Amino acid sequence: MNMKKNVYWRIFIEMFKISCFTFGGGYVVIPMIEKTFIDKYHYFSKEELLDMATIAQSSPGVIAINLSALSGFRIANLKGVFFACLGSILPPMIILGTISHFYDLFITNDVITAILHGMEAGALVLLVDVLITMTSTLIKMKDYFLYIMLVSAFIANLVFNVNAFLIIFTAVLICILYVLARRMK
Amino acid sequence: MLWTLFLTFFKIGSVSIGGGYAILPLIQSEMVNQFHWITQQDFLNLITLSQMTPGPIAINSSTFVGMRVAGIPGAIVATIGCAVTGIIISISLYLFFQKHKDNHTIAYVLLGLRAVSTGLIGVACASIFMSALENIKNAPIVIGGYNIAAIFIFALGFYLMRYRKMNPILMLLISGVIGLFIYL
Repeated sequence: MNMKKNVYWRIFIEMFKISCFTFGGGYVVIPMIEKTFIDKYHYFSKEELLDMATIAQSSPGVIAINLSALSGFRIANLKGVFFACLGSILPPMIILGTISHFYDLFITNDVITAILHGMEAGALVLLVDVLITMTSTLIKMKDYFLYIMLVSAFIANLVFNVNAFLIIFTAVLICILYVLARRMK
Repeated sequence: MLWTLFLTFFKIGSVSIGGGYAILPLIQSEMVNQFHWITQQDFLNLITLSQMTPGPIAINSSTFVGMRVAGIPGAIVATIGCAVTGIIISISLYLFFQKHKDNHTIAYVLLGLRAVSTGLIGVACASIFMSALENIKNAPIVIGGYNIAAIFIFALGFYLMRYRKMNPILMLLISGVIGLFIYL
């Protein structure tokens, strides 16, 4: 089979599979992308994935789609973006489109709610996995300023409900000022 | 109609940062209050549906509303509108950071953003943790109003993922099957 064609198909089908199981917010795709595109196909490094995840989260829009687009871009440029996005957008569209027709049937079905209830805890595992990965790479940098940023962002968002845009914007400013201040010294 | 739909979701997708539930108030004000495309009840159903089905809540919402307003073409147009800004900006930022990798300030901004992102992921963890604990529907063991069975599934999943290196999708499927036995 044509190698190039093969790559696009792979991107599409793997993103499609991942997207079918994206419960509990965009972050859960990070360990899935790691498992598939790093551990299995070695398309990029874990460090690169963490950078891409950061960018995906700091951009507007949908984190899971942004990250999928970036992975596609990293593997096969703009064509990669197209197939990655198609793969991640199709499952929720098909599933939600179908379900909204059978809404009452779906929501009252005990089997379905029981399965989904179980998966809720599974999705939490993925989220905690991302949190551990990202925190441990930050800790390795031994930079207390970054630790403070992490904790402040957590508290600002959870306790004081400051929105993510404001937090991200402030973080960019603070980092620039911090580097400039250090340079002056 | 399709054009209005596209523009509205384009707007929502362009101004929401941080993903997930941050987008909900925007959808409510545009879809329910301004255009009356869906009712308040539809909106609540949409949230429940989004929680129960895979996929980003923004994509779910645009599919749901687009479908209601203009059928399948509506769903497609709304979804593209919602995702396109993020895709373009992500790739531009990525290229920007790649190009200026050696610039100390810019590299540090990326690190700072990573720290902040980690904090925000922590918040998502905390809120999903609480909702999983408090969801006691059909839970076999409830202590102090908390669902202890969810902790069991979580612990097992965590073990399988971290120590057995199990594929995340397989782990999710297993937690779903356990859920079927515990909660049915």
